[in-house]
Amino acid sequence: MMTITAMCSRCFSAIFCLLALACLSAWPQVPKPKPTTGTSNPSAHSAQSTTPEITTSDVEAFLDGLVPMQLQRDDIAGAVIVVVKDGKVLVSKGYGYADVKKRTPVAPDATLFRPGSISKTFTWTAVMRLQEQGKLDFDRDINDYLDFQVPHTFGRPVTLRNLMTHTAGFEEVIKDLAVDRADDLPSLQAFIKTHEPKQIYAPGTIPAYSNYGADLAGYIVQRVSGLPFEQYVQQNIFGPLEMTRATFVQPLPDPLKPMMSNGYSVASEDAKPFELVPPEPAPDGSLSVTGENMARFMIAHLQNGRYGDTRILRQQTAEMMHARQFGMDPAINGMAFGFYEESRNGLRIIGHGGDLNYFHSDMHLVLDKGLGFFVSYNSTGKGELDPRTALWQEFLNRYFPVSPPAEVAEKQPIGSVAGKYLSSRRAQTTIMKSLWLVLAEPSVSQAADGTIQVDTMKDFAGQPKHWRPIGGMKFREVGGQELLVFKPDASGRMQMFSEDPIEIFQRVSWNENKTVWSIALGFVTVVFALTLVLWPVAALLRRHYKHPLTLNRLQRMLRLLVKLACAVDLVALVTFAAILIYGFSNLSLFSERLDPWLRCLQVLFLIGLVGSVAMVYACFRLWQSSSRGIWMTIYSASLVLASFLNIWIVLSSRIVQTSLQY
Amino acid sequence: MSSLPIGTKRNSCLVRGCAFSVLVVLLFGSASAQTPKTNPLAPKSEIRTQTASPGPEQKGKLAHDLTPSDLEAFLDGMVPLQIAREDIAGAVITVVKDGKPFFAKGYGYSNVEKRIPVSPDKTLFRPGSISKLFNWTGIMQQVELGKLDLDRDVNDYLDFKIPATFSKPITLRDIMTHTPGFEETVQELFVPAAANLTPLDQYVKAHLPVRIYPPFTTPAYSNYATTVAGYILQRVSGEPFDSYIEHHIFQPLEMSHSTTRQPLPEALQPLMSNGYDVASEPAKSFEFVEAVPAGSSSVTGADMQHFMIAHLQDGHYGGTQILRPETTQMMHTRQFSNLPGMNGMCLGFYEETRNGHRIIGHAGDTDYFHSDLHLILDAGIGFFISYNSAGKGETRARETVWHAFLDRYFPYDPPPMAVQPTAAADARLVSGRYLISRRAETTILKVSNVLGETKVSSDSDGRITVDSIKDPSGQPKKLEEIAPLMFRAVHEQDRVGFKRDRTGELVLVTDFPVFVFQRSPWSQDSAWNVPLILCVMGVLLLTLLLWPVGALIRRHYGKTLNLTPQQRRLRLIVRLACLFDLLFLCGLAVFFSMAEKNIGVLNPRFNPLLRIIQLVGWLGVLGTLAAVYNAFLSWREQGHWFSSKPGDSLIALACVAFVWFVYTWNMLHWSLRY
Repeated sequence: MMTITAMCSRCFSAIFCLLALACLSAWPQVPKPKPTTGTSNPSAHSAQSTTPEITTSDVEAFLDGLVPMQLQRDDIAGAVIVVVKDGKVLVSKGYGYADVKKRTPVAPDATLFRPGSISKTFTWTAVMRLQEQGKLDFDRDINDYLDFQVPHTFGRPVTLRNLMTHTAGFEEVIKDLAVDRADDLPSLQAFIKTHEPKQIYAPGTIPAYSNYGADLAGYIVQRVSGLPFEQYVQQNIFGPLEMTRATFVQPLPDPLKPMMSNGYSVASEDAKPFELVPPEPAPDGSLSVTGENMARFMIAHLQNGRYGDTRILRQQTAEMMHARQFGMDPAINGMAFGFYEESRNGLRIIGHGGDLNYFHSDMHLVLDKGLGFFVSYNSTGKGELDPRTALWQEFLNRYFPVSPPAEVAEKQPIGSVAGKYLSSRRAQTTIMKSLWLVLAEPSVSQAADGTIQVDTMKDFAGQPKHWRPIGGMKFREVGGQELLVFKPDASGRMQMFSEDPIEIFQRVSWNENKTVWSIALGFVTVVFALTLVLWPVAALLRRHYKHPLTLNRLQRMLRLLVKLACAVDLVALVTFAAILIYGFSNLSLFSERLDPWLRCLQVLFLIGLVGSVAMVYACFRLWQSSSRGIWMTIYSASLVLASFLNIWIVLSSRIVQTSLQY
Repeated sequence: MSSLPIGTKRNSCLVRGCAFSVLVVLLFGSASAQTPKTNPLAPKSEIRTQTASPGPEQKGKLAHDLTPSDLEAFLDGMVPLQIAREDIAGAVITVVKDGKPFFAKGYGYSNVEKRIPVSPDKTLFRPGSISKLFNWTGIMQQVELGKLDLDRDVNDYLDFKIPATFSKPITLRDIMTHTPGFEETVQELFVPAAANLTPLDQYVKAHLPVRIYPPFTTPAYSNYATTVAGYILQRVSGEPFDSYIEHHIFQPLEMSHSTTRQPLPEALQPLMSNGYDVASEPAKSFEFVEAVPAGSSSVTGADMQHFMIAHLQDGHYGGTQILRPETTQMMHTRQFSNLPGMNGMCLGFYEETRNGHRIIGHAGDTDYFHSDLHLILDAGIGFFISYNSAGKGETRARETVWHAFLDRYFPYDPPPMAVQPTAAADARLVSGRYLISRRAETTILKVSNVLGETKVSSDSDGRITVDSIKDPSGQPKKLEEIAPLMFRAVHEQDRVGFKRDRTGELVLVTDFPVFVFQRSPWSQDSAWNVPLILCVMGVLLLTLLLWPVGALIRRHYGKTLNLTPQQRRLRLIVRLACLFDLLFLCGLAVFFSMAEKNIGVLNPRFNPLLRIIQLVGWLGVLGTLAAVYNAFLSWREQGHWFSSKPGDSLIALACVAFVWFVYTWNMLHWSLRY
């Protein structure tokens, strides 16, 4: 299922992480609570009971203990970490290799990493800059800035405020998330106009992280400023911050090429090629940058726009950008402009993560401590836990320890929250819908001791965390600090909010329930496959026992029809599954080139649909005309049921539709 | 892969591992399956490997100053995340330097439920086989007193007789270098409760294993022999073992929170850390080690500092001397080695030389506690670590911490060595399967070897991999030939050497000197033994499954089998034989899996159960005659070749293969001492 995590293109905890969650690979957020230390040895060195100070030497020793162990344990080639404090670089350090084969070490100032979605914070910063110049208005219909129209699907315009808080309501799309060849990179303008997703929520209501939304914002920057996007960022952000080793351009300009770190799935396998993120440039994720250059960007934000003698944003603009702008519940993290809140250990923290297939990065700004932290790994690693989350939380626990709040015994009926939930960030109307239903449904269950568990939310050991009700439909991680909040929406559908504000989870009814879907799919597959497998077996047995079938011509045809329909249905399902499985480890598969094949597949599904209908009829006729033995009845009934289920699956998964935007 | 190869109670580990793998293989047919926590063979055959970071950090070779604050920040980066990641409840680390305690810290919990943090001086851990060092130190005290001679036949000190299987008698020097040549014995190494503990003399007399190697030739780590040494210590000193260690080691060293007694003295009971399989599951109960001198002690991390200081200071601690300097030095001197240039055995300690420093030490494992003790003699540094949980077992937690410690404060670049021109040929030569010297050879436990074999493979570049030598992410390391038949991990320092034994067979030697690996005889090569038994089980299972299916189909078509009553009977007997064969394999697998969960199952109390399982096996073996006869009859019969001839022959073959397998691996051995 690495395949699916691999799909994390440019979206931090976004959908694909969700998928990843759903499939196995845990993206635990929090370690099991642990005391920071035990007690000291009287005769020996006395372990500090006080919190260690953030000094260069302490942080370095701490990271030297933690990071190399992570790299080795998780089969990761290399990482860069920079920590800034009070306007200066406190630690900048490379670990492991930028190129394993050549044993090129990672250098914080001379090795380029791909921060993925962290690129978006540059785009958002550009938007803020244009806003403070009066060229953009957060609350104006973005159509005013565009040369095409984003429909008012919900009777409401989409605004920049919506885009920056990921509440434009766009559904998730995965087509053209990656390409193999630079020639295949579409321009920003062409991409924006051809890849617009449907809006599935009214703007400003439900957060659903959207790469497209960020690209759209980048396109607006380009149109309003009159400069190509990459040039605008160069002149207004990279330039003033002296970020000479940063670019949105793909493939990399020649001078930067030799500095680029390889990307790896795991360090023990061969390096992967440079990842091309459509479009070119991609405001949502095409940045390449050194750790040391990221330090400058963090310092500028921590100083509310000031860097040295220059400013990239005015003080009040920066403050507005960092302030909370949207949240589902006051008790949990919300969205700032582009940054999201990740408050923890009693500190208000904003940040952004970023994932390409191979690079996995995180940026955290502890605003009131003047502390910034950037980490990027150049490999996915074994994927059993999220190394950057572990790193960051251990860091916070060392320098800003908190004791978990006292456990409040709160008896609250919690049956009302159990069930399966779907992320708001999902494909709802596209041919990929079934993927979310089958793979990406967190399941909330109630433990015997009154706590709940969400199967996708695990600790660092891979064990599901326990959450105890603390009143008001809120649950706190046992021994930890994270909250889950439940709240029904206007229509009464239960929603779950986590500390990750870029998406929410909505409870599904039976017809979107993962278990129902899995059983239905399993049943259909088994019945159809057995029908086909037992066909020749039964023929051989009949021959052996000299017991030929006594069927008339019509019966024979009906029988053949049943087998053929089974075959077509099965081939269509298996092919679709194969495309998905292959596609998620090779994202560039999902491009226009696949469209003709998808059309063929749709035709197959259509034939299968007709076949299924015919099969119901045929089964009935055959059953009528046969001896009606118990086995025949069971078999016929199974086939009929499987046919109906197949029809239901195909229709409600929306595989057969005219649009190949997905 | 929990690795401690060493260990202690390796047995326990051994058994757990074996049992599980047998189960897995037998039931599920996956030869490569591993438990999450223990590589089936791991305890036996795993070789410790280095964790050297790939990073430029090590390359930089900049030694960091070993200061308490640097060490603390470094370990604080490492250990909390490690224990969280591996599902370990708690750990203690203590370091001594220049004759003084230098660092001591507890991480995580000694009791997860009550959230009691680990304290370095108030929390007791079970150091497992590291307890042996107390025993060995006691023996050396008696040597100093002239009451023991390291080179005298140990029978002279015993009230029972170790048979003269080989012309050379077993001496204490053999025992202390783990070369007495005993086969492995695991029964009653641990017992379920205090009430099951028996006096030392009963244990050593009841569990005397067969001698399978001449003394001082082949190392094969032995808990039994260590226990015999403890028994000798008790006999010549005239003090019960527990009191002896108390009076002559713990008291002089002011180890007031240390004991070898079980159950714990009441005063210490509240200080005992829980043991955990994984921290996310409930705590396990106190482990009772029957082989007391081999591993029963309970200590605090701080107390272990005293013991390390005494050994680092030639026996001197505070105002006392537990050993004379020359005795201590002798104890730390190499006594036996498998290959010149590789680590050897001292008296009880083994060498773990690394990063250019001569290091001696000992590891220890109970089921739940996993510990290590290292003495960097030339730097005056001692390092002790103990975890109170087995954890997920996917990586070697202790080794990761220790190697990182060494690489930070004693950085080292392995000297460049030219790859031998004979590399490709030599790599092919040494490829194959190897059996660990520490193994059961004559008992029913022999079957555990079938999955415990170490596999050496070569690639086209003349590099080899040894399946148990992996980096922390689980990838096998590649080793290149740097001297004739001496291989070293690429860019690292782990080595594997090969020598030939007296019969000319290859012996694989690692830097872990307490055992070696011997080329598997063809008959015991798991490369075909495992597929064979899987095929056998497949055939047996199919036969049984198709039995009722065939009957149903015949009924459907209104046909019956046209068999004489005699044929009918024979047919039934053959199918019953198949059933017995399968039941036997599964029964044994279930037994071992029970032992895996609870080592106390390896106890004579369960012998009746084993007997019943074996009875089923014997019935299966007898049924083989029927199966062969049946096949013979079906070939004599007229009729189409495909009617029953292939099926009956296949069944007969499977039954014969079953008998061969059961015989080869001693599974029906009449003796239930193992």
